[in-house]
Amino acid sequence: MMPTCCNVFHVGWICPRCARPMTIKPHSGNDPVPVSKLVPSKIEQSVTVVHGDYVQGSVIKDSVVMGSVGTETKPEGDLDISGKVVPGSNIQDSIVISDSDLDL
Amino acid sequence: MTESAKTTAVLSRTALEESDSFVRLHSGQVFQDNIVPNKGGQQHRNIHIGACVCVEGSVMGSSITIQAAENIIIGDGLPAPGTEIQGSINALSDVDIGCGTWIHGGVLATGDVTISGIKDEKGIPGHVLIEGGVFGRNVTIGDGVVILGPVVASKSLSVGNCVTIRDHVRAPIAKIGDGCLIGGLVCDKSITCGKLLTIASSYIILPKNIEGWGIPHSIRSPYNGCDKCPYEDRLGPDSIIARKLACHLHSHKEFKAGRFTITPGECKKWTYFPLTDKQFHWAIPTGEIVVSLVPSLVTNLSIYTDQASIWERGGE
Repeated sequence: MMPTCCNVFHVGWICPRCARPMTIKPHSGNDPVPVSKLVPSKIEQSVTVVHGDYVQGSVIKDSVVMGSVGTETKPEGDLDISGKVVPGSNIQDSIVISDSDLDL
Repeated sequence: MTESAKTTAVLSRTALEESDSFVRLHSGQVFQDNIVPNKGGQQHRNIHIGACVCVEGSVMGSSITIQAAENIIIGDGLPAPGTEIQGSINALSDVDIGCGTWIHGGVLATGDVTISGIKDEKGIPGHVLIEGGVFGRNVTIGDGVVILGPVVASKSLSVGNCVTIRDHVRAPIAKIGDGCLIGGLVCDKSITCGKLLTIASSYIILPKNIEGWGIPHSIRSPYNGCDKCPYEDRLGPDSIIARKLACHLHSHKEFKAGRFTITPGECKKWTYFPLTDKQFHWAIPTGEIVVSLVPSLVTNLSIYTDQASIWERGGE
């Protein structure tokens, strides 16, 4: 019987006494798993663009970290694009229309 | 016959039997596909899902029956988990769900939906968990069932004791048992509620005929009494909202010999929906009565609703 914890039945999706989430035994394994909707899997999506990277397109993500690495300071005005190249567009949950699509 | 021989016998049968009018998935089987129509007319097949099976997809047919779990031994002498439907159940007629069932999706039926209550028999999975919503004409939900989506009945709804429905409940005629936790309630013709019921939403919508409400006991509204919980040190800090919703200090639940006993807990500070105080009632255009501890005539409503909605979100 599933909604039982601390030797007693409870309603809800978490045991009120010990905060343990409800679990259930699946067919794919012997260990009980937390009910997925109650303990959502962590989505960690990020793109790190650092100084010197050349992005050939757009970067649209849940989170984008723009930082700087390296110790050399380049004079302003000249951008060295010799770093890692991120090819193409990196897009999520968006529509990108290029100039050719707009038929300008 | 030895136990292992029985197991072999179970596993050696054809997993799925199909005809033009009937589909049967035998007990203890894993079926790695949907059970859905492949050609015109097959949507009218009656479907029988055996005990302790796993369907790695959805099920669609006319009447759908999910058999209650049994004590089935699978490899290495381990008992089989309960039935697992990794998709949804969709029926043109009725749906009948036995205990020991976990449905990852929802249940959608144009006919009646009957969901068995949980059972506590040694070695037999007795839970009932539906992660999606439930919709049907007449919906009956047994004791101790957990449903994470909304429950909507087009005619009537009957909810047993100690049932968890995380989302809203909506039905013209609703009967709710003792010790339940539900997300919200919208009912426009007839309502009957048992004791020690918790509704997470800050409001409930009830039939226009106030005298006809069959609600003899107070219904706990976590907003706003549980915001000032005197037992916070016993319910936190982890997942405090979800724990307060299921609060064992509000009501104590015991399940023995297939029956629930629900008694008041030690907390006497919980707040309840003002069912008898008409200053907290207001009517929506169709005449139904909204009952809420959030005052209806305030200019800064967002202050109240922001605070109230934490309970509707369930602590996530």
